[in-house]
Amino acid sequence: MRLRAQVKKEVVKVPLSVDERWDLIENISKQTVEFGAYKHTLKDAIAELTVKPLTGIPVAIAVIYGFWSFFCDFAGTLFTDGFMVKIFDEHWLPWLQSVFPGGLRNSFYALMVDAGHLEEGILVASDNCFEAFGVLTSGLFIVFGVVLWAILAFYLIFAILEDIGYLPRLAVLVDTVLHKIGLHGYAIVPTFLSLGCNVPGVTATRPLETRKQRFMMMTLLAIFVPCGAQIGIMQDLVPELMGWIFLTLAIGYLGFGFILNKIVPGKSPELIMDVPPYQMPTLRNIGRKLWIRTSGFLLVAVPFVLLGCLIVGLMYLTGAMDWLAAVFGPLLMVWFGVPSETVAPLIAGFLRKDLAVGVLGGLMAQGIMTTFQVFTSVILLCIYFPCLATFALMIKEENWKELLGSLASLVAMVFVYGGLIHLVGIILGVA
Amino acid sequence: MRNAKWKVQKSKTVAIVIMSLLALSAAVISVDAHMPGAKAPPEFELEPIVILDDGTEIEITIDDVAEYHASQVNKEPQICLCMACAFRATKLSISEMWREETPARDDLRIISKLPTPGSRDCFWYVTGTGTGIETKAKGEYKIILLDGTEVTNMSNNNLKKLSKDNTLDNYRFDICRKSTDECFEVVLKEGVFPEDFFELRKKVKFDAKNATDEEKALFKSEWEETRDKFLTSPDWELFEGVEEPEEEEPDVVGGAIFFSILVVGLGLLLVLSHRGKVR
Amino acid sequence: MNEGEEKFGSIYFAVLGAVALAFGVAELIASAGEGFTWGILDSSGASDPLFLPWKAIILISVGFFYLSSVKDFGEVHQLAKAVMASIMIWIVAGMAIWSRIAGSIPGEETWFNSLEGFLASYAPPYCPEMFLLPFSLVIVYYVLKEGETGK
Repeated sequence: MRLRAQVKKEVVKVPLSVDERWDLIENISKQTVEFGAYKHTLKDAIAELTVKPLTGIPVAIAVIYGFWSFFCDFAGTLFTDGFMVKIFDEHWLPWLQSVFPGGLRNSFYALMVDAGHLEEGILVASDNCFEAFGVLTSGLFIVFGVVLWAILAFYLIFAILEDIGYLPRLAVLVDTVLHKIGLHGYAIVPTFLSLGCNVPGVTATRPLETRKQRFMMMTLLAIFVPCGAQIGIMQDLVPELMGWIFLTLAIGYLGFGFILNKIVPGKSPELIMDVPPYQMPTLRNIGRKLWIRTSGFLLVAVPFVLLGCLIVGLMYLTGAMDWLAAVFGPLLMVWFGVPSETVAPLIAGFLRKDLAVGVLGGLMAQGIMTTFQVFTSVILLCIYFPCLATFALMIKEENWKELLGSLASLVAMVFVYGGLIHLVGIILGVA
Repeated sequence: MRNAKWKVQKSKTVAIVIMSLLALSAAVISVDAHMPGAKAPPEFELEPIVILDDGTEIEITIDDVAEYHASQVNKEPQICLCMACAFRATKLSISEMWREETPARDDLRIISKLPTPGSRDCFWYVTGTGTGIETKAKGEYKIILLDGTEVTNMSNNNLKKLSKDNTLDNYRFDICRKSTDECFEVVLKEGVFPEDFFELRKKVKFDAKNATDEEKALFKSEWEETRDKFLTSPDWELFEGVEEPEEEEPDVVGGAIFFSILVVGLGLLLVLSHRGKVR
Repeated sequence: MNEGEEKFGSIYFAVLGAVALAFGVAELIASAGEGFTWGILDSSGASDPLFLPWKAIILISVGFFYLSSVKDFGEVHQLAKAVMASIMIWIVAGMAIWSRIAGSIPGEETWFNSLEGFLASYAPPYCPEMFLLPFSLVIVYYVLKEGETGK
């Protein structure tokens, strides 16, 4: 009662000076807070260790190792290679090839089941779903054979880290580094989310305070953060290049973020973040999160991948792909050092990045690309444009000026970074 | 490449064009170790040959040999069949004769029965006896034909001429350690070359006018298949006298012990965490 | 935690830290080549050029965490370092075990592995972190002790 009276009395005197406000706060806290010696618990001490750079960085390295290791074995070894390849290549594809009407030289059959490939001048049926490139074969294989398991693995670990309380600590840990590029440590959350799917990643930029931070974050996510689906396909196709791919993207993320921070007007203020104590995750919560995120992802991905397969197929059939390859081929070859056939995955990438890498896989199987060209193409696929769903969300989240800015950054980045990679390749003698 | 896949309606035209190209490429197959229009080899892992050149350790990769061969026949570098065979034979002999040691270049003596430019350039490069090779020490390399005559003129043209009647018997190499006077004879296994390979080779390379397009295409594909074997197959599949390594019996007992420990450990963990919750 | 327990913990985790550090350094050296196999200890399984040095760095950090925790081991902040080191071992060793589980279920030609093939997937040799795993579990005792005294 006495306190309330005092507050009332003080409030009457509005506006209070800064000193008066502090005095008021002190008075209130003296009467409401009990002070005593607080003994750190083991949990507190562990929490401290995970945010201090000297100890926190090795812990982060171990956590990311666990993350990646689980991802590879769960999605790659167990599901995709262990079961899905068998289901799709040994049962689904041959069954469709035997029952679907039309046969190899039929356009509808080519679009839906198998376009076949030439061997010694003879059109022969494909023996795996990556090469068949039909909507019902490659389309379904990409979504249900590869991507679904990658996404499940990713969101499972993400939910565990989130519920344990490790993610906010990771944010605190990387805060200093991210401040150098004008972002707050919280930016690690949208970045991690984007590693699952760019769509929730872009949505998660909302808590960032200024337009500058949001613009930068969205642009960086759209350019440099590959989604789980794309990572899954890349891991399946070029596992030996994954380290280099991530290193190149990380350098681009930090380097380009630094440049954006310098040229984009606006402020990057501090953001106060709640760091909850460590706790045991509950199975119910994890399950619910996993279901919501995975089903949400599938709703976005399935139609786009199937549609993408159809569009790419139609473009091949109508000759549009030839025309585009002829027009953009010289630019791709001279500036980026990749063959003109890369046009096809780049087109597919407007719809879905995982589909684009899948198309690239088909080209790789034909042996028309060197390892360095594969590497450059994968990087180009990551950075040249966000997938359609992410782009649609960016239109919603940004005003037209920011959107144009993002697109201009994209174009500039693709040419500068893509050209730079080619140049490094030439200097090293691998391009 | 993929364009053709999708232009099903144009498949006939494409097929005709491809067939014509194929026929054209087959027609230009000359009496040459190189195979025009041959597919690139598959991915392979071949460790380099390591030798001591006057005490300095040098590594010779098959790509080095291919480049040297290209310079000798004035063609683009290509790993040809004979070269791949010679390279593998040298590697095998070194591992059999020197084991863990590294042979000195001047301790090597190679006697080959194979008169082809590809194998010649490989052995020239390894022994340092060919032209244009910077070396401090030299080994020995000879070609002694099946009838016992030694080939003194190792020019491209002469070797091509001598290779007309080549058979599997020519693929024999004696690789010797001069210091100990020991030799290792490398003999190819029978199934390495397709049955009709040498007959087809003779027809396509030395009687091209009478060879049909199908024969030329078949020879090209057999040539590629055999070259790929030399690049990717293990020694025991290629050479006589090399034992197939015994497949290790899976350690089921060891695995079962570990698996039991794992199951018990996980069980204990579950019980403990359940108790913790109850408390 | 009494004095005896503290002293034992100190010595035990100093030794474990030294071993982890040695394993880490060995893996780092091995990652430059093709790994090593020594009896049932194996570090060549992770032929991936990315994973071996990554694991090596983690084991080296584990070694340093344990070693830095041994002075005044009973103090909660010191104990936390040893706990963190153990958790890091559980992560890497857990993933090594998970890798075996994932590889043991599907068969090469058939849908599922045979019983023989399944069990053989768990056969030795094992990577260094799997050897460290059982020894790192001792920390659970200290965590429980700390929980009791902390209350």
